[in-house]
Amino acid sequence: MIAKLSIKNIWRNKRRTLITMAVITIGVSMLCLAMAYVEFVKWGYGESIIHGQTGHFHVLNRDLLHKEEDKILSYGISDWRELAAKIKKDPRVSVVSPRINFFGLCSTGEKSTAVMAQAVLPASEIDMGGDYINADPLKKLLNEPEGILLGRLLAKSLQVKEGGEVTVLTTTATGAMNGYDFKVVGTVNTGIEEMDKRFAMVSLPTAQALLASQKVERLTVTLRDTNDLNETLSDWQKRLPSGITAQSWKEVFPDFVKTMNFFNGMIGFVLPVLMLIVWFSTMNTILMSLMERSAEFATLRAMGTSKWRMFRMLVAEGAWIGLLGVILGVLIEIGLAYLINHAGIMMPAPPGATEGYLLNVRNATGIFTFVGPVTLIVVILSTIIPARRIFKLNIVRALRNG
Amino acid sequence: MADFLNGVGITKIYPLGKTEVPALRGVDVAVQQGEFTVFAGPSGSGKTTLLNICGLIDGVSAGQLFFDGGAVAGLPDRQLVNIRRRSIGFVFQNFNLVPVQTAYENVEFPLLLLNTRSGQRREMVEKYLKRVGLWDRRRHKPAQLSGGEQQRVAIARALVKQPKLVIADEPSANLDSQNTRAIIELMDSLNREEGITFIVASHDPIVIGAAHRVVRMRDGLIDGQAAEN
Repeated sequence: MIAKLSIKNIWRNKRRTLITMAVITIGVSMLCLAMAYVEFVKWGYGESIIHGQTGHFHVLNRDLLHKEEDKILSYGISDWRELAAKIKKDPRVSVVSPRINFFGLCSTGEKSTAVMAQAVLPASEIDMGGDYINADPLKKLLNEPEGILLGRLLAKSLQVKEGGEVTVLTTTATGAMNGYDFKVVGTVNTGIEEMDKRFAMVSLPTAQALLASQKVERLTVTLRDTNDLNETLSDWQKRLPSGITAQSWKEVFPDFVKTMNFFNGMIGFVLPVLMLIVWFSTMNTILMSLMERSAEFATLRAMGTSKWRMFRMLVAEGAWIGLLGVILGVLIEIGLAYLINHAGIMMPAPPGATEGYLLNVRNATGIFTFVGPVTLIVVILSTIIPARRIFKLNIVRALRNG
Repeated sequence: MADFLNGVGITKIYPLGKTEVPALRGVDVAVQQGEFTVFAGPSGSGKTTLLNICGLIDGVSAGQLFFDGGAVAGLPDRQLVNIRRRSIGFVFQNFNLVPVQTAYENVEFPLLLLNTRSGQRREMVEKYLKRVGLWDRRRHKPAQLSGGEQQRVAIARALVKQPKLVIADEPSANLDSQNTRAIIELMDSLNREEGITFIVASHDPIVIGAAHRVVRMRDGLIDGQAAEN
């Protein structure tokens, strides 16, 4: 009876109900859309970092985290091949890629500049990158073991083009100076301007020859599914040899967490603002309804309807408006998300980045299961406050005034 | 014959700012089962206040009220609600039908409050809507009915639960004389056929003319009681 009567009652003043419902609908759809955008950034940015830079976790010497190396690869991993093979056997692991990061001086003979070089196995990096990276430069490096990939702006600064030669000077693992001539096989765009000015990539065996060591600095482990990260990381932290540890990609790349905190902060600001608007809009509707229908409420009370039943009916009216608003809001958000994802909207490059990105939103069930109930709770609470007046309704006075 | 409703020394005082306005000043009233009683009097005489007290929707400031043999003054709201739900039907001056419900649903509502089974509910609603001549218009909402029809629906709503008492406050105030006569004839026949007690507040001569007993009021006191029919 309450459900049936309350759904009829909400359509008494269609315009007012529709306005309140529109406020809820717009609030829900905009909040879900904003969260879906953050979800896309979280997912897209995260996956691009994982597959383009960090992998899911790094395996490295524990000392490397806390101490400064006297010489390059002092805290490297010696028996990395055996360890990599062991990790690779884990069915959750997709790629294990060894790496060395070192600093050096890159020179054309006429101009020299400091570089941050990364030594990799190009084949492993291609496997690790998958669809997330442009593998063309890595393929060139794969075909030319003594080749070097230069950051886009580094190549420009050195005025060197593909096919040109550069010499990289650095200190070896024993502390001596060593140099190696590389053939420039291409340029890379890291997406970050400052990196493009300093970045170089070479093949691991060549770098090991240059650094006079067979060690690697770390193993980059990429999983088949990011959802397996916590479990796999935890497993390997227990199984790694003494002195060796594993570090999640979020620890390797802490800027990701900061960026996400920034976005979450924005949502945390928008959420209460939208809910406040929903709160006042619903409260106003119920309050107006109470005032307009006081004679009717008095009649129902006179007929023997209990205060609690009347209260429940009013709250049910608010809940219906909230429920319909939430459902409509979710449907509109799904429609908008589809349009955005198919519109091909290019967003400008973020600060410090060199390339824009394709605007996408990523709906996750968690968004709807969070926003929907939160909105409904806000609507119901905002209904309860004015609906409490029903307990103080004076039947005679309300009949007289009605 | 024992009084069905008995009020002794009923006093009702309304606060008005810092002063107090007495609406009833120690009224004694008794209504017997099956009576058609009219409280008559000019505006401000206290007839509606007395009617509201008899309908258990208003309390007394002093005095005692007995309903169907039991003292009801000072009972908690929950118990008064139960008595009203089971035993008292109301007919109002402005009809006070629920506008979003059809005539059928309006009449059905008191039975829903009593958790009456659906089959019996339908039977009762049909009986009383037919009794007031509106079964064919059962799917109409109040706005689609004339004033007279709305008041007939209100009467059906008041009677459908077969109450012991029907309280009617100025039931003819918003009706023309033709509709007033029709409504009063209906109430009168229901009173005679079903033995339902009616207490009506009115100053309409047509209504007063139909009463078994008229309780005339003035300034919060009973002016005189006369057997009309």
